[in-house]
Amino acid sequence: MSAESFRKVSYDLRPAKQIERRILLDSFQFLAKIGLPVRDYTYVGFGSIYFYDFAMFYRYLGMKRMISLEMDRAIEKRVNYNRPFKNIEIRMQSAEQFIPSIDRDERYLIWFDYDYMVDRSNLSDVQYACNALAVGSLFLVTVDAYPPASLRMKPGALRKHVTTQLLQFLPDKYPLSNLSASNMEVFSRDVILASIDKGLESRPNVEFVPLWSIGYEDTRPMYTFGGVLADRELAQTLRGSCKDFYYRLKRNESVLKIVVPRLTRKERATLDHFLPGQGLRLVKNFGINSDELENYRTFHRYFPSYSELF
Amino acid sequence: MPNYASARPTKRFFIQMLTADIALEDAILDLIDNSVDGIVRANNFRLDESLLRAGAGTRKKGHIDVNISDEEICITDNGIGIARKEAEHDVFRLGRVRSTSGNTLGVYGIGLKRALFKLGNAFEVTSRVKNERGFRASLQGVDVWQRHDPDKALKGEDPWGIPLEDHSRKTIGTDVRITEIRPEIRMRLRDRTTVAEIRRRVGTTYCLMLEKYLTIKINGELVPPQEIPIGRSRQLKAAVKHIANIQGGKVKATIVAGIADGNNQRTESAGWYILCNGRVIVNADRTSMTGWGVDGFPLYVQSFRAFIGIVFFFSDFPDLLPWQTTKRGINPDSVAYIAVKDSMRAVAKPITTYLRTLYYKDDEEALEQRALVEHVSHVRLESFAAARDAVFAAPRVIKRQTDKTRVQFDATSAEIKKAAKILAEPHASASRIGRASLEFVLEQGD
Repeated sequence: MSAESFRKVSYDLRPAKQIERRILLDSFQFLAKIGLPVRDYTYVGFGSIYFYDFAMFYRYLGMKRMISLEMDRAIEKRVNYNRPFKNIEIRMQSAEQFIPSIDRDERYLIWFDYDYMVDRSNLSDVQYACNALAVGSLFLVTVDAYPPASLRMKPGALRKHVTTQLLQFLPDKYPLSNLSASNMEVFSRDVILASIDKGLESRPNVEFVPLWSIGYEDTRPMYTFGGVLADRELAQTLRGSCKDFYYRLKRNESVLKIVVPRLTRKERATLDHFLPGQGLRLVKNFGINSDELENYRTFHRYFPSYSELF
Repeated sequence: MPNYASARPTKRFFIQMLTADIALEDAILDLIDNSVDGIVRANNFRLDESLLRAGAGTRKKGHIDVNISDEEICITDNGIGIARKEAEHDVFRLGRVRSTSGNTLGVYGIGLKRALFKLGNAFEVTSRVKNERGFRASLQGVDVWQRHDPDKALKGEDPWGIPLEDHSRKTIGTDVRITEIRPEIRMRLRDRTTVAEIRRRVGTTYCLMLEKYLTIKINGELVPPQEIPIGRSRQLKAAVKHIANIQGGKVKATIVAGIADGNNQRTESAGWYILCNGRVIVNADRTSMTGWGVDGFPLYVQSFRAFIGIVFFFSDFPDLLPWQTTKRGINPDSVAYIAVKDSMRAVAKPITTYLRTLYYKDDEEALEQRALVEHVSHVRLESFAAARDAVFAAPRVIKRQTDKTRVQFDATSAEIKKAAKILAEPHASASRIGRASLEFVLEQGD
């Protein structure tokens, strides 16, 4: 789907994104333990030509049915060439074209990983998808949490854009005065939630239990929001057991920010020796500040290692 | 002294309220609805998904005759008729005594009475069912009748009563005759296109029944069914979605959306059609009522003129269907409608996106694509009932990659003239001069 973003940066070198994938993977494994057999779901994502999420979910979850949506006809050949596993079906479709084929008798793990800001088209994708998905399905959406230059540079442009384009997605009395390029995460979450509510309007026995609200930045700030479509029983189970990964990571903030401290291999090995737990304060100071230490403590399990291969 | 405040309606209010909310055309359709229900019951027809099945019921056994003039409006049918008992206790009551069941068009028990009061000052209904004698109900002078205060009714007199008597009618069926046509209706009828409009509305509203079950004549001439102009071609296939579980399975819906046939790609016929138990209640709607411009769905624009969307609702519990009492428009708060509206938009959005891309540019490819759209041929609705769920299929609109940028700038006509002179091309166009200027700059670099 990411028609352009793959050209701008090699996916290999996006550590924050990779941490996010690992956190998600971790939580899918957790969900499997409390009765959501994610490996039996159909995964739908935007694999582009890299298929990182697909390869991970197949390798570590054993997902059987996977669909990659790709809109960019110009890279169709490369997409097919790079498809890593046979069970990944490539559809030259947009999310919008895919949604009407969602089957209420099946469970899905859907991750619409857009590379642009919330707008009318992706918010209606969110609305229609949540309207269609069966209880137990997982739904995640990623958007740019940084407005394009045209909305950033001119004072008032962002607010004007939002009130003209997204008015129908704003809850009553929405405090637009807080809106700025720097808090797009919270704004994105609010309009995504509003779209989900719209989608669930006709399904009084279904609610959306949010599990993920993650901000990260490799080249520019991105925001991922996601959760589970649940009936009353499932919602209770989730609320009871998911504190473990959701609320802890959230640490009283509505957005979990992934910040990647830049550490050498040697530094990491040293720190890892004292983890998990609160042991980092025992580490002899070798020049890493306390914020970096805390970030490393939070994300160390998910930290990718990169090396050059020949 | 009574310890309550009276909220009893007055007759005048009732009649005014009922008739103010409905147009002449819809009042006629209300009368036809009653006849259709009578014909359906008489012949064990079904107003359900079988309407969408090919073949089923090509016996057009029902006949409805409508005669409209500024003297009188009559409607005659060969339906099941009204039993005397029903006439006494049910049919003329304002509102249903019980809630309706069976797949009928009648829901609220208001259509017939509303039409009678709306159209004229006097009416007469005669009817006969099998194995019974006929009857006649008639009211001459509705104006006097509505002024008659129920509080001043004589003992034993029903102030809401309509006089009923035996009638020596021979045929089974029902006749409704309205006379002393109201002045405002006469004004409408003086415009001779009004009846033509009614004819078109009847042809659309009952298109499915007219195909299978019955014929309708207006002023002696058969009304042809006006089919909803959905089409298909090898490359362009409509989306279909069945939704079976509305209101605990009591209501079923089928959504069909695609491209209009090539002869009917016009704004007037574009938009959403909504049918309840086979009767069209929304006809080519392009307003927010059916979701245009709501949430992320686009506003209707001219480039969507080939869009056709249809929603068929069927239920044996007609009060669960999303119609309003006037049967023109949907009740947006009906559970059945809330249950399908997101699916409608989800199914339709790829089509609007496709059409928009098509008319976005004028390049060769867009023209080819448009030709494909224009060559879609008509298909009968029947082909969709049994169809499996499918998404809209269209050839991909390929955005050709281009590295060209358009260069534009302003120049005075004196400058252009001078440049033309330098080029020794006195009739050179402005764009030729622009091109030559760029070439000149580029040559400097070589």
